[in-house]
Amino acid sequence: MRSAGTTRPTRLFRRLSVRLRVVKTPTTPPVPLRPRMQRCQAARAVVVSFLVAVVLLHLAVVLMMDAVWPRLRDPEYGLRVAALRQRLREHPNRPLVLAIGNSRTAMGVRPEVWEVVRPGTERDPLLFNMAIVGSGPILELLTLRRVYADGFRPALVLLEYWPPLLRQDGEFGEAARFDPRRLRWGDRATIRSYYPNAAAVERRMWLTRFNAISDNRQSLLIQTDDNWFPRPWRLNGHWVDLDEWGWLPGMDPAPHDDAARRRLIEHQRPLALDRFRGHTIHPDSDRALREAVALVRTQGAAVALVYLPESAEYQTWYPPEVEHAAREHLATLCRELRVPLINTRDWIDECYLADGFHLSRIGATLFTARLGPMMADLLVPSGKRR
Amino acid sequence: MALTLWATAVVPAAEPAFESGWAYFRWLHELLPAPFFHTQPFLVFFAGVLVAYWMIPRRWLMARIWLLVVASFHFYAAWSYELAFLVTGTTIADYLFGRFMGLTNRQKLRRAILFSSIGMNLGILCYFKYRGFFLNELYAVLVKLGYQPGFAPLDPLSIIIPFGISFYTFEAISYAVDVYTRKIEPEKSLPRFLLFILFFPHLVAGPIVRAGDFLRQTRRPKRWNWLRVQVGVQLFLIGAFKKMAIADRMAMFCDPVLSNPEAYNSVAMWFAVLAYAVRIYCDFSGYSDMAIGAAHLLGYKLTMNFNMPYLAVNVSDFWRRWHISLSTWLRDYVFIPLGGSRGSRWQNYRNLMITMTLGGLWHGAAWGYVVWGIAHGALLVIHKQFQYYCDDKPRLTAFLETAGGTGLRMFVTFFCVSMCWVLFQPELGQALTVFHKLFFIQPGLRLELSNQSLWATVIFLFACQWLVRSGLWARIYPRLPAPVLGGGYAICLCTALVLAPANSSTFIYFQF
Repeated sequence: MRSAGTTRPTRLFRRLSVRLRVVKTPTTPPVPLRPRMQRCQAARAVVVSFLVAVVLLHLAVVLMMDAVWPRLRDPEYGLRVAALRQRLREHPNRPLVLAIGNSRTAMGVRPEVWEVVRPGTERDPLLFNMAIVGSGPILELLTLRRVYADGFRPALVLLEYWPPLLRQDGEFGEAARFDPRRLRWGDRATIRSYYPNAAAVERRMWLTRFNAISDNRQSLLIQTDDNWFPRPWRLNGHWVDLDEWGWLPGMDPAPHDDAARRRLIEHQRPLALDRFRGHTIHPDSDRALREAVALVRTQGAAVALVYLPESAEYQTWYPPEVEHAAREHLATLCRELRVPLINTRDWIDECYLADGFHLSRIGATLFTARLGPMMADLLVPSGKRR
Repeated sequence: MALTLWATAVVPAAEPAFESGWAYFRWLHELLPAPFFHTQPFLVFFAGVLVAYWMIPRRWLMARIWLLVVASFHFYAAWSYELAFLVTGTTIADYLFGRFMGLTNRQKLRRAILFSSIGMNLGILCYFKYRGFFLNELYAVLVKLGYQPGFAPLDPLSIIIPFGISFYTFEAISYAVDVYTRKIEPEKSLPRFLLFILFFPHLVAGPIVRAGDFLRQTRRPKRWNWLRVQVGVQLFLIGAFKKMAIADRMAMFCDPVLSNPEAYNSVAMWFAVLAYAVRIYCDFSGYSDMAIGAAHLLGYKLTMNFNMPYLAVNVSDFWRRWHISLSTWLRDYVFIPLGGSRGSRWQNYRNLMITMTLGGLWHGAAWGYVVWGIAHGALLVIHKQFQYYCDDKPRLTAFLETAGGTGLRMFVTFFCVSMCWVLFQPELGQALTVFHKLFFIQPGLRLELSNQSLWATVIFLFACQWLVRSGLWARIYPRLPAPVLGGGYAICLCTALVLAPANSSTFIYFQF
């Protein structure tokens, strides 16, 4: 506190001694200084080792994200792959059925329910949800290629067909919806074939590897501990709640809670109407769907298109020309490719559709219970099919 | 690699004060949109300057100085070329005032030149920074008294304040006063003087350098020195860590709460105040560390601006550790000329109050900053009074000097300073709401973030400072092998990169 300022010598002495005790430096002897030349060499070594360490740390992160632990790069896909490997280990003899699509499939196909209702034989299909939120045909193809590249050999692939996502112009394009930081080297073939700005996306892929730590920091941190982010900033909604079968639990308004569903529907209405305004089926979407079907067939597997449920109200949002074009397109695809269609558009009562086109959790249960037997039928050789 | 590439972080660009009409400056603004040290464009700019600077042969000292002057001008002009010309113009005027003062021995003339220089600098400062505040206050008073003011109130957001104006104004004033008091010789070289004011590491937010310290350094030939490079890199990394990993992260806690205090509950408010105290320290000291580090890499030594202020044991001690370049400036050019500690106790208190109130006003043209300055002045007076009280209480003094007593004093000082930070904002009404929420339990929203990371940051920060203060770090540091130290720097950088939020916020002191 206050330095010496009193008249009594003893107090002064005591204060001074106390003060000296407080401000004194550590009692250990200081480290003797090395000669200047040595210190300069040591400093240079520090700076050089810092630069080397930074480069090595970046390389380590790139290696980790691209080779050792790819789920760090794309957790939504990577977590599903890890879960699928586990399921295959548990059920090695069952034929694999993969459901590939967008958030509608991610939230609507609940393989856990099929596990409950299936006949229980050794050869029952093993259904797994491999959907990626935001996928249209191009990302479905990309996912499919990844699946084969990762060594999975499904017996049947269910490809989602949904007209609103067949648009590829401007902001409606799939390239705009998928973060390039999630792309793997193996995805470049799809990018080059389908992305309108493939060169820029490839540059971005290089940059995200060159600047690996900073550019991927949110993903890295959120996968380590999402408590470091405020709730609205946690961009992990697409994968944090994934179950062990790849199902993403979606919105969950109670079937009788019309007000909650109405809020969700009204939120979606302008977005949907915007998407339908000027809607056309892009040739790339068509091409990607055909390529996906061909890829599955070359791998010796069966393939089917699935049209997931939409509420009656949502169906009215389709402009007649879009509805007509989509029906035409779907019919042409099925005819030309000879691919079966599972049209579930009207399967589910609209109280089980949270916002008109995403199944609620109960809706997903009901839907999968009904989808399962049809899927099993598709796996039976055509001569024995019921 | 990362040094030049880390911050693809979306840092909000500092909007240029005026739309630059010249294509060259528009292009410059696109290249260097924000004068913040932790952004990728700045690092690229700095790397370019560094390479060019050290490639110039050592004997071409003036070429190096000119290079830094030109780089500094461009650094400022990238934000606003009009204001860059203004700053350069006033700097040249200050140089001429100094030269004229050196040419004459007539005291009255020297004083007139001194007042002209101070008047010009303070005039520009008042025009840009305080005009809106004073005119709006005058408007309010006239309206209250029933007069028709005859002018419209100014929108505070529409007033453009050249960045760093408070810092370089004080530097120019200190130069004029030092020349007048013959503490230093007037600088004869214009480029050296331009570099003294415009040197880009300290231009935006200090430290406030003194002409005597800086101009002397401009005369020394600089040679590449690895020791200095290591110090520079280390300081820059520490600063970047403080800014990116701590300050910006703490902003995620405190910004939503303090910008809308009515909505949150009392617990959230306490956390927000704690987070703000940590944030403002790491933000400003981080910036200062980066500035000092950048200057070191160019061979210049800037004055230390912070010395673990939250480990201060009283408010006087706090001001010896917080924004040291400003507090010493206020001491040398305001407090001591007012009489300092000479005279009676009450005169001393009066001088303290005036100095701190001016210090508050220096920070911003709003009542919040003025009241913050007054509050700190009052704390200093209370501390002085307490010292007198302790004079006759040896047992109390002895207790306060023990470890427990020291810890208690640190806590009380930190608490008082943190409470004062609540006032450190333009909206005084908002500060009162915060105080109400702090001291009367109120319901409301909770923090959106888990407290875990806040506590982890606070504990980490205090542990680091304690490590330094206890002397332990001084013993460990020289014994660390170079690869370990270099690896530690790299981990520090990479941790900062990972922890930096996606939307990095601006520097708080940038606005001053």
